[in-house]
Amino acid sequence: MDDIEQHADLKTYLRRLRWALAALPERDRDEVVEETRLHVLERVESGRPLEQVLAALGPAPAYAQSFLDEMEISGVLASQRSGAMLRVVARRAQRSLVAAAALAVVLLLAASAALTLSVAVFEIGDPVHTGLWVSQDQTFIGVIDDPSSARELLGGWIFVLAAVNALLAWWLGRLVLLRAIRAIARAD
Amino acid sequence: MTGVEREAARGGGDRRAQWFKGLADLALLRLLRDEPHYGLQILDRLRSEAGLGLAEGSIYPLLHRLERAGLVSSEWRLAEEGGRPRRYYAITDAGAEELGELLAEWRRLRTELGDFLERP
Repeated sequence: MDDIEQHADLKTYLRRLRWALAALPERDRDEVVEETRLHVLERVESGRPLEQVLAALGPAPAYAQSFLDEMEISGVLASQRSGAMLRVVARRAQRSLVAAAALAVVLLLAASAALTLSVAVFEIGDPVHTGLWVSQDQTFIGVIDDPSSARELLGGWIFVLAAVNALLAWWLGRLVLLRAIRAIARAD
Repeated sequence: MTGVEREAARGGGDRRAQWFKGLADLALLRLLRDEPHYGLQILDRLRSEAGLGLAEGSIYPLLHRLERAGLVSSEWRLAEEGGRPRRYYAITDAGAEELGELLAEWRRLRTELGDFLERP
C-alpha cells in the first residue's frame, strides 16, 4: 500500500487539489486533501484500480470547485451580507438560470432606485423643471424643458418616493438574492 | 433501446441526480442519527441502503457544507491501533432538529404526491 501512497498519479492529483483549494483556509485545505488521500487509499485497498478511483472523483480542479462552491454558499447564507450575496449570484449567472433571473431582477430594482434618487437630487437644484410630469401625450419622471407644457404631480413628495423606493429596492433585492442562493444551494 | 438508454435519452439521469441531491441531506442526517460514520462509509451506505446514486466526489463537499451549517460535527479518530485515521461525522442537536423537519416534510410530500400520482 506504501507503493500506492507514493504513486505519481496520486501525488499529482493531491498536489493539484491542494493548489485548486488555495482560496480555503489552510486548516480546511489540509483536511480536504488528507480526507481525499485516505478515501483513495481505502478504495484501492478494497481492490479498485487507482486510475478508476481518481477518475470517479473527477479532475482535481472540478473536485476542488465543488468544495469552494459549497463553502462559499454556506458562508454567504450564514452572513447574509448583501454584497457577498450579489457577488455569488453574479458569478453564477452564466451557468444558472435562477442566478441569471435573480440578477436581472436586482439590476432592475437598483435601476429604479437610482432613477428616483437621481431625480430627487435634481429636485434640490432645479425644482421648477424636475418632478413627475403628466401631459396629454406622456407621463414621465425626470427633468422637463418646458414646465408649462405639463403638470407636475409630486412636488416635495419626490423625496419621500425616492427614499421609499430605495428602501423597497434594497429589501426586495436582498429577498430575491437570498431565495436565489437557497435555490442554488439545493440544486448544486 | 433499453430502459436505461431511454431514460438517458430523455435526460432521466440528470433528473434522478437532481432528486438525489435534494434527498441526500435527509438520508445523510438520518444515517448519522444512528451513529457517527466516516465519509467513505457514508457514501457506500447511502448508495447501497438508501439507493442514492451519489457521485464518488460528492459526499465530502456535502459533509463540509452540513458541518459549516452546524448540522454535523466531525473528529479524527484512529480506527484501530496502527490503522489510518478517519474523520468521523456525527449529527448535532441542530442537525437532529433539521432532520425532524425534513422527515415531516418528506412524509407529507410522499403522501400527497403518492395520492396524486396513483389516482385513477
